[in-house]
Amino acid sequence: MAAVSLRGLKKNFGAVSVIKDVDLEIGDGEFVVLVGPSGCGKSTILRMVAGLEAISGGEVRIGGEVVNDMSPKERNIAMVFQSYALYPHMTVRENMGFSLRLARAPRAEAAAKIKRAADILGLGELLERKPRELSGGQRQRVAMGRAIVRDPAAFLFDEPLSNLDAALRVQMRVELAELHNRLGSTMIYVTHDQVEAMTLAQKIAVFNQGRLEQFATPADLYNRPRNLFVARFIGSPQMNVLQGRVKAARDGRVAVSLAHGGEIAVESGPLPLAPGQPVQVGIRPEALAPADEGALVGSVRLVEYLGGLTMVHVAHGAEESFVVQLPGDFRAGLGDTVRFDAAASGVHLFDAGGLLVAAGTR
Amino acid sequence: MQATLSRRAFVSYATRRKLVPYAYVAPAMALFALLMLYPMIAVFRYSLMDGAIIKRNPTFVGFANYVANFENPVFWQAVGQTLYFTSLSVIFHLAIGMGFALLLNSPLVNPTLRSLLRTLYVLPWLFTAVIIAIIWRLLLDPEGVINAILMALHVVGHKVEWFSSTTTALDALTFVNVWAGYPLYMVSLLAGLQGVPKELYEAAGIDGANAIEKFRFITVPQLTPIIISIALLDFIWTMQVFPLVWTITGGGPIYSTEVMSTYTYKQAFADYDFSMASSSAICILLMSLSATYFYVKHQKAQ
Repeated sequence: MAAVSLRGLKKNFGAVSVIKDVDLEIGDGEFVVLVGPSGCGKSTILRMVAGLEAISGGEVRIGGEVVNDMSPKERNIAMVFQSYALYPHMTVRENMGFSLRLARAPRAEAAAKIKRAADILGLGELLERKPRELSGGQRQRVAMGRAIVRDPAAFLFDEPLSNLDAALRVQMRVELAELHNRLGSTMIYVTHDQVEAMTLAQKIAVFNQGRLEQFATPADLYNRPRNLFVARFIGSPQMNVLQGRVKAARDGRVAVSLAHGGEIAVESGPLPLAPGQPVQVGIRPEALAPADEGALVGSVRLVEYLGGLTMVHVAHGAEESFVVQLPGDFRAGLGDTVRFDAAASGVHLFDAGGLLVAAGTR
Repeated sequence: MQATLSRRAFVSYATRRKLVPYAYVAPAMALFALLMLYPMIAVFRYSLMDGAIIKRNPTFVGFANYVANFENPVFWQAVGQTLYFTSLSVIFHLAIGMGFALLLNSPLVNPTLRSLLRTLYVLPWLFTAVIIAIIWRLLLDPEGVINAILMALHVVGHKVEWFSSTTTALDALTFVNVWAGYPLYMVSLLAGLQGVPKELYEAAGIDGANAIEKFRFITVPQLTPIIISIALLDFIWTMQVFPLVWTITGGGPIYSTEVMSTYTYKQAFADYDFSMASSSAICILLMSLSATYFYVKHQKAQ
C-alpha cells in the first residue's frame, strides 16, 4: 500500500498535448476514481502511473518515490484492464500465479496466495479452467484475482466493468467496494460512468480535455461543482442549465430573472454579483417540485416513466428545456402547462465563463 | 382472395434439401477423382508389376519392387538424406522466419527501415527454383563470390567446392533451401504477431516479465497454432522438393544429395523402370501421409 502523487504531470503526442499539468494527491488506502468523457486523458494518466506510457513532463510518485524512469515491473502496481488481458493459454490458477512464478516465489507461498485471492473472489471452483471457458463476470474476477495475488502498492483499474452487462456491472461494483473495504489498498479507478464514480469513490477527479477540473469527494462534487462542466458531468439526469440575469443581490441572497420567464433566488456565493450580469442557472432535476404558483413554467414535451421515478421533459420558452425528476406516480399529458419551484439547495449560478459563483447549500 | 399453391414438385422439398450439398461438391469430387485418386491408384498398381508401361504385358510381382528398393543402400541413403534435409530446413525456416518477423514487428526499428526490410526479406520467395539454383550455383562456385569473401576473411584456406564435394553438398543444398523458404514463415508469423493483443504484453510487463519471458510466455503460446500448421505443411512440402535439388546438384555427387524425389525421378526417367519408380513414389506418399496425419489431427484440435 502506498500513496500516489502526480505533480505537474504532462503528456504530449508529438505537438499535441493530451495531459496538461495535472496535480493529484492520492492518499494511502484511498479509492480514487478518475472520471471524464472519452478522450479526456484519464486512461492515459492511469497508464502513466502504471509505466505503460512515457511521461512527457512532471513526476509520478508511488510511496514517496519518483517512479518516472521505472519499468511497470519495478513500480509494484497491479492493473486490471478493460479487456481483462487474461493469458488465454493459461488456466485461472496459472493466470493468477503468473507474477509469483516470474518472481520465483516458493511454491507453497504462491499456492497460499492464490488460494486466498480465489477465496476472496469465489473462484475456488474455476481454478483449472481456461479463460475462454469463463463468463464475462468470472473473467473480470480472475483479472482482479491476478491483481490481489501480487499484494501491490496500488491497484489500477482501467474501465474494468464496461464490458459487462448492466446487471452484472452493478453486482461487480458492489463487490469492488467490498474488496476495497476488505483490503484497504490504494485504488485508482478509471471510468466514464459517473454513477460508478459516485458509488465507488472516496474522492473523484473529474477530467476534461487533459485538465483536472475538480478533485473532491462525491458529495462536494455534487453540491459544489467548481464549474459548469463538472456540474453537468456529475449527477444523473444531467443538471439543467437556463440562461438568466442577476436582478438583485443583497442580504446574502441573489435573485435571478430567467431569460424565458420566471425568477429564482439563490444564497449568494463567494463572488460579488452585479445587477444585470448574465448568469447561467444550474438546477438539478431532483431539486424541482410541482407548485401551483411555481416560478418555472413550461409545457410537457416528453414523459419517461421509469417505475419508481418519472422524468418529465419540459419546454421552457422557444429554445430552452429542462428535465424534472418526479415520483413514479406523477402523471402529465403532452403539451400540458406545468409549474415548478426549485429547492434553493439544488440551484447553482455560474458566470458567463462557466465558473461557479453561487451555490445553494444543504 | 384465394392464394394458389404452386404445383407440388416431383421430389419432396426435404429430399431436395438433403441432395443439394452433394450436388455442390460433386464437380470438385469428380475432378479430384480424375486428377488425384485415379493416378494414385494407377501408380500403386504399377508398383505391384514388373515393367509397367514399358512392357506390353507387365506381370504382377507383388511387393517385389518394394523389396528391391529396401535392399538398395541408395534408397536408404536417400531416405536418410531426405529426412536430414527436411528437418534442418524446417528448423532453420522457423528460426530465421521468427527472427525476421520479430524484427519487423518491433517498434524499436524505424518504420521506413522496417518496410524496406520487409521487401528485402520477402525477395527469396519471388524467385522460382531455377533462378535460385542459378544464383546459388554462381555464388557458391569454387571461383565464386562466397569463396572469395571467406578466403579474404581467412575462414577457409582453399577454394571449397560446395556443391561438388560429398562432404559439403548436402549442407550447401540445405542452406539454399533454407534461404529460399523462410519468407513463408516470416510472413505468417508476422501476421500472427500483429494479432497478439497488446494488453497481454502490458499485463505481463506489470506482472514482472522481461522481454525473454514475454516471448516465452506470451508470444510463443500465442503463435503455436501458426507454428504447428506451417511447420507441418513445410515438412510435407520439403520432403517432396524436386526442382531445387535437381537443378542444383541432380542428386550428386555420388548420391550425396540424393533425396527421395530425385531417386524416384531417376528410376522413372533415367532407368525407365516405372514400376520401381512407382514403388518409391508410394514410399514418399506414405512418409508424407504420416506428417499429414499430425497436420489433420492438429487442425481438428483447433
